[in-house]
Amino acid sequence: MFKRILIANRGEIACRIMHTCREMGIETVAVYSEADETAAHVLAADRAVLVGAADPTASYLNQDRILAAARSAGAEAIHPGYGFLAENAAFAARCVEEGITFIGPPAEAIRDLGDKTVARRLMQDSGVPVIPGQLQAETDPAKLAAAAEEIGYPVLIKAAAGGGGKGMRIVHAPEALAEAAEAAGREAAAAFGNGSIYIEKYLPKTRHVEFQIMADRHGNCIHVLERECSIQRRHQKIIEETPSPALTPKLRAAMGEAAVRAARAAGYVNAGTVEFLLDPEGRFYFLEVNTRLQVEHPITEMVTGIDLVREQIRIAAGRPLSYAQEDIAGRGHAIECRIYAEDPACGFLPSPGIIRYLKSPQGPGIRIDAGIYAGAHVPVEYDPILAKLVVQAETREAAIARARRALASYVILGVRTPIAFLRDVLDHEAFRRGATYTDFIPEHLAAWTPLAPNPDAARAAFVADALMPKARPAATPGTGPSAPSPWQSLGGWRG
Amino acid sequence: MKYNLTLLEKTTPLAVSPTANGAWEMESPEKRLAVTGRRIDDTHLFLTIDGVGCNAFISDDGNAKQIMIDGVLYQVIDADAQARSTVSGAASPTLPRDATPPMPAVVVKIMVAVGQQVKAGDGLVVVSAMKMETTLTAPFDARVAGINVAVDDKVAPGDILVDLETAGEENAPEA
Repeated sequence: MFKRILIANRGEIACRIMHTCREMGIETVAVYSEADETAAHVLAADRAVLVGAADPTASYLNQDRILAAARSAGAEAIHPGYGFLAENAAFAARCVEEGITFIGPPAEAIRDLGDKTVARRLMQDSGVPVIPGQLQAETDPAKLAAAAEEIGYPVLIKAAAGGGGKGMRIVHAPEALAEAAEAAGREAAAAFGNGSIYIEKYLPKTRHVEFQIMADRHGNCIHVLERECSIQRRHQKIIEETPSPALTPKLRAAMGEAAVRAARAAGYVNAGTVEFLLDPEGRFYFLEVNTRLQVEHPITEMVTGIDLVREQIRIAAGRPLSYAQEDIAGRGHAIECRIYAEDPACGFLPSPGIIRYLKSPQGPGIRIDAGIYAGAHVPVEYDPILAKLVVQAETREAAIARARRALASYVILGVRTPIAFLRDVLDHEAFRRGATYTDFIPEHLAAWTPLAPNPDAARAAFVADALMPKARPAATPGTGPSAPSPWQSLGGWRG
Repeated sequence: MKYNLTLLEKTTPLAVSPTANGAWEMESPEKRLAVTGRRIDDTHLFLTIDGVGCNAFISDDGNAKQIMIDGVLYQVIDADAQARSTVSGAASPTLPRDATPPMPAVVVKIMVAVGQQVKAGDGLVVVSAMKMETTLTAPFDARVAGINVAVDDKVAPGDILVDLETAGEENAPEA
């Protein structure tokens, strides 16, 4: 087993990986940028190495600096987390060349699955259903038009190197195709340095259901159940749950088996996620494979009791999987709510700043994966995720109630968060009945504004805050938290 | 004592008067509430309102307080204090005249040059915050009179990134 691991990431995921390392008796090495000198992941690590300026290309994406940090700190392995270098085939290959274990799949698997047309061909060849459409990138407008005609409108133009909705266009009629294709190609070229596009059938009403897979170097490959991730804004998930309210045991078995076949077809090793679209008739289609630990992995851990990071580290160290397929069983229901620094009342605009106050929910069945503390700086340079609230309970209904309760007691001041918005999603009648499709937010909550359910309490709090003096810096210890009654110190009175 | 508090654009007059044991009564035109308060720390207050407990978390922001109760953020403004500060000439409401970012951000690209004529809606500067890019556009037809930032500069709401002049403004004595 490794003695020391470098975590090439920041924020909540770096902290989460370090928790498992510590439990396994493995020393941790953090890397950080100039913007992150006192970030939570630096404070949580045994050692920390400065790798560059705030801009991610100078630090968290700087392969030379990260590999040099691993060498200088004596790390035998690198865990990339998600984002940054996690799905970078060149980085995975360089780790191997430099004799450092990359905790993730082989570089070839990352490369093949990162190109969507290659991935679609791989899946089609191994009998995994793919969305009807092209298996090659195409630039000739006449051929694109012919393909769209054959597939049938509406069609979706996608970037071969794509992700995050960039280079994606829905086209409803032939006359709009040429212009949309050109725009999508431009956008893809700008975002990924590769303007290749292809066309597939556009499926209007779908769910996003993904399967966790785990494969070792000894030929064992299993799935660890599904996650339903249909609640999205800007093609980014904000609430995930497992089990999916849409899956029957039969459908779960079929999709799980397809996911394992997909992983085997790609020569997959370590943890990964096979994403599917599921239509209302129960037909499922391969979407893509995420060749890394997923943001929403904790819900799988909550229902199965498996520590996926521990399994990742064990697999990378050459051990066989700890579990066989028949060992995998889910218990109860888990929900994750992502807490971003953003303003849901203002188009989900990012809201960087300083965390002025933080109080996390507590109680049975609650897990918080966080990368913040009171006083922490939330830099503008990085992804705005602050924390993930994960709950588990016996039933879906109980899990929703638990998540609502936990959100109500989550206090983050200093930056805007979507806490009130997430509660309104959980309260929505369509969510309650499990009608979770990827268009949920545009359909049900497009014009969301925060409700003010208790204005009396807000006004009373304003008055109380004005009347009751704040603690003086040199408070006498042992006098308890309560300030003197306002009626003993009438300095605040007026009017 | 009296307060005029604004919440969600509605101003409510309140009369607050002490009762026994450090409690007080808060009276609005609609109702009368019995309130007690305990300060847990600088941010955290524990209140009872007609006997029902409530945790409130408060951060000050000038004349406004951001108050979080049960996961909901309320902005409560002291209407009297706001009226006073407006009279004294402080912080007039921001007009959509200026190219200023909606959030703290980093300048990614400058799309115009000094002297250039722009039309309302033309892109001026692209800023990026937390991997999301936003293009700031010209609010009206204008000439670019000055550029106050460079690529990679950190900027915040209120910073004027590009100075714009409408036709004839440079000659107008009271621009």
